[in-house]
Amino acid sequence: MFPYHLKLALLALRRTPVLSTLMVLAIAFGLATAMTAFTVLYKLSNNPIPQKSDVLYAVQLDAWSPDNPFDREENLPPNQLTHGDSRRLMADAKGLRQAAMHKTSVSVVPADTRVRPRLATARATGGDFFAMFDAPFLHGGGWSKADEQREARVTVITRELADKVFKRSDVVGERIRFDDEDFNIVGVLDSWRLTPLFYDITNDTLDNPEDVFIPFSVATAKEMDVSGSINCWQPPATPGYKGLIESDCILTQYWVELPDAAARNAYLDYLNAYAAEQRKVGRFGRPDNHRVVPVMQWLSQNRVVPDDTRIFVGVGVAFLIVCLLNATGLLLAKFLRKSGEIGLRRALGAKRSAIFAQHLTESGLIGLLGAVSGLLLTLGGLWLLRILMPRLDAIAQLDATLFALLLVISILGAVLAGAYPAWRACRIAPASQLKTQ
Amino acid sequence: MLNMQNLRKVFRTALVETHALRDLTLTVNAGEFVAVTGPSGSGKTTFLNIAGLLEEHTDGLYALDGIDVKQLNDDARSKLRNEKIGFIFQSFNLIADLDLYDNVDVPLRYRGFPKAERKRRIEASLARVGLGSRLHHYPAELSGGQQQRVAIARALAGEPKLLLADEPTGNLDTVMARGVLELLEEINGQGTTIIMVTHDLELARRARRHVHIVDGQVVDLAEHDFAPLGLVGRPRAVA
Amino acid sequence: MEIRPILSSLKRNPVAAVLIASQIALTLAILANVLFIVTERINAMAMISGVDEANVFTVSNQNIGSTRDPARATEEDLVALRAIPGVLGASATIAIPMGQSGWQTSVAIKSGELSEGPDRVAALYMADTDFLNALGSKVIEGRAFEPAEINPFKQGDQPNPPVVLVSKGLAEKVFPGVSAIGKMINITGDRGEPQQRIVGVIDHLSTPWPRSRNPDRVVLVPAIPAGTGYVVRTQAGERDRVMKLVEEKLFAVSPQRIVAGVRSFQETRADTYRNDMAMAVLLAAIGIALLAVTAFGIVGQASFWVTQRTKQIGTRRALGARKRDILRYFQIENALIALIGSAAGSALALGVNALLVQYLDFDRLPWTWLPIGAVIVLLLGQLAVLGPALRASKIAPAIATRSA
Repeated sequence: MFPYHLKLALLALRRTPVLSTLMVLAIAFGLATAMTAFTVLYKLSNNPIPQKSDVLYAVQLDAWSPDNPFDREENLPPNQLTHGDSRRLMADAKGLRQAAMHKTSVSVVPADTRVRPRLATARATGGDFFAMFDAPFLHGGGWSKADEQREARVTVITRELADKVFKRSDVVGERIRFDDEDFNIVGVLDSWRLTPLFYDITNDTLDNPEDVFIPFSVATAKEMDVSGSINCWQPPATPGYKGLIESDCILTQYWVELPDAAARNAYLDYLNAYAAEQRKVGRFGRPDNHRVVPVMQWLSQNRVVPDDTRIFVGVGVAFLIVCLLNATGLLLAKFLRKSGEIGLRRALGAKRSAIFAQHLTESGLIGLLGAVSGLLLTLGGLWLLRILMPRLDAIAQLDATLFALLLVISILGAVLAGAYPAWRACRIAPASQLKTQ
Repeated sequence: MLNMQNLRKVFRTALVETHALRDLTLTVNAGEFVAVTGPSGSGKTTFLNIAGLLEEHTDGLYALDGIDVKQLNDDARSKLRNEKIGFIFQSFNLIADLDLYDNVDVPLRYRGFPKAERKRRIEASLARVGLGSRLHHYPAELSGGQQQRVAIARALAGEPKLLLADEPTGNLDTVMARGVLELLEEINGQGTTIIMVTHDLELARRARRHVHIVDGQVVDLAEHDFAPLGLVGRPRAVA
Repeated sequence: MEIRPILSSLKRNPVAAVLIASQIALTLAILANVLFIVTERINAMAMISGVDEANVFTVSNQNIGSTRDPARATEEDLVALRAIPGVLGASATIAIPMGQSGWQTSVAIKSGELSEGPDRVAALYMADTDFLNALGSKVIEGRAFEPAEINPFKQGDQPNPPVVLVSKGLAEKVFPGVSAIGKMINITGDRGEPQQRIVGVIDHLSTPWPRSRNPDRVVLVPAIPAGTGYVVRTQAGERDRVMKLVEEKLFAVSPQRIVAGVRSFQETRADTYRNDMAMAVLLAAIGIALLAVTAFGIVGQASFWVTQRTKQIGTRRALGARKRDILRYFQIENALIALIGSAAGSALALGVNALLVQYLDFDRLPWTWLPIGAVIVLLLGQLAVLGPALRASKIAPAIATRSA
């Protein structure tokens, strides 16, 4: 029966071209809006590192002002650590792997004087960083604890930077000049993208990972700027960079790898013990509120998905519902308009279920057409979005999963919208509408 | 009451020209009860529509209650229809979504009567047809005969001078039909002019005057003249 | 006005009306919120910066190597910039209004006072004698900084100057009704005696974060930051030409640098408001599409439900209805449906807004948007039903007798 119903559906669509077009367009617009918004939400809510997201934890220590919490609304501890706490936690190394880190920048001065110096984003971090975050090495590897301890001038750079500076990527062992000092390249990273960039929520989470990685101790020794956010509840006791890194100002991110629940509990115990110890020297004036937060929770806690995105999705979904309601109303009108034909079909032997199926098929067909037009409009919507917000360039792209979702929602939605009208149609009594003149 | 002289009605389409009424002449005086019969396609529905100001005639004179309707515009016709004519249809034409009260109310609203006046008339009218206790029932809850009575009540509520009935018993069984006809006779007895279009020659006999339309023209059968069944268009002179 | 019978009729056959009313309800709910958000964003984007926007640009500069004394290097750079023909003023800065990055400090007026909370916060700009000129702002009360008061500033330093300038906005909030000149404030956050004396009030100037709660609270300290950024103001019409010359002029002073970005203020501002602009555009587009969909939907459905009642319309005409009575019938019916839909939609809008307020830190929807939205959907409905209603009014009275 389905091919027959499909044929009837196609005929019916052709008979009312204007009405059918309006319905298809309405569904297409609703679909496109909802899908465009959802694409962004979906990508931003993406798990950036699914293979490790349940073993990586952000560390939070509540060493904030005794007078009020860092986050009044939700009583959260500070979202960064002080420099001193970072150094101490790295030294104690109680997790499987750990790294303190902050963003900075370096001036890359190529040896080839014909190539202009350029500014590169950099991350000061511990050697464990690369293994922790599964950073893909093209050549070489990271640096060791020993390198870290003796403040060795070593660096890992991306292949893009290598290409720009050296015109090739196998540059392990080469020297590269940052500001006024030469660094030894020990590793070159392959192209790498984390969406969102979860390990540093004080900077733009849609940025690429940094171009340059250097040991945390080296950045400290060279008094390199901290890019991101420096937050102090009381001013440093002494001036200058030294004063800043000994103060209670929070300015570093700290990540730890804990492979199971036992390790996690042990680490929390360690944090509480550390806090108790610090309390003796007059720090940690707040009640214990120290945490280790896994990746996805960290993202949601820090509102990485902007409220605007959620609003956009909400409006889009609501619009889609209006369009489907619209379709229900129009389908009802369309089906009942043919009451005479339906009555006749029933008189000629069609069962109720056949009439129902016929009209549901018609609804589904409209849904399919809506999906196709909706796809085009969605691509248009994403294009518009990329123009309005260039930083969403990588995000506002439709992939196969989302396309499949679009198809399913459209057909399902149209079938749902057509269910009541189809039911009404199948209730028409046989030959009831036949008129005698 | 109703005066038609040489009335012509032509329906024109791109392909065909249909002369529904040709040279129809008829005078109905106030208080008369006229039955109009004729075979299918004879033009009796057209006659009724023109009489009821539902359609315009192509040529000739039609004066209703002394007013020449030719120069009336649509609004004036509607007003005249509303005030002077009452309609009864074969399929009752009640509005299913409204209860009896609201159904009878419809023409009164267009008349512009205030609420109290309308209430009075509606209650009186429905009582007159024997449905005074079912004001807030719906048409679907009534039998065919009762529905036609409601339609009659609706037609009468505005106290029209002329009642036009189109096959009023066409959809009713004999018992109900008799009841409706008795009601019509009663109304006529109280002074309302009635023109009734019908297929049913039996019914036509009950009316005091019988007019026959064939091929768009009147063949006036004298009062109480009994015409054999199967009469087909042989014009006879007016007695 | 036959409202009661029309309502009664709708109650008996509610499906069509419910479908249309619910579309209207949802449309209103969405429309009210969309209108609210869009106008909110447009208002935000209209914020005054206090800067001579057409003629100001910023330079991002990174000195390489430590051979030059940073303070000296900055001074030389500024001299070179100010010497460019067409330049009215140049200043070293780490932050500009609407620049999205900068220094935030707390403002206390008594010792021991807790200066936490968003209402005690102000943006801090480091200003030399040319800073206000370079932005196009000015002192409106008191005096500007004197050259002798200005000191170099390095990262890690904590500002604790003897004198400060404050913005009009801050002066009015912290010292309402009186002149702020001569008053003492504390910007160090150390809870001690206020050490900063206000010597001047400047005209309105935005903080680097114009979308924050208090975007006009600004404190200026007399300092020159070591040159990682410059702000330059040119004569009218000269900006683009001067922007092209900056890099070479700075390189002429010393090539040991990276000039990472020469950006006009307008570009910076556009960047800051990009989100809002996108939301406004997208939501406005959705709003229009929504109205179109609903309008066409009503046209389509009304057309059908009108033709369904052809016999009834003919009967009414036969009973004396004029053409305009029929037209009015459908207009009133449509208006009633729209009113019911609007009532439901208003409740929905408020309900959804309440959820948004609780879970998404949204603003409360001002109730005035609901009647505005209701009027819009009402007019929309009336417009949409006009066609079908006019067609209905043209139905011949003869239909009453001619259709079975």
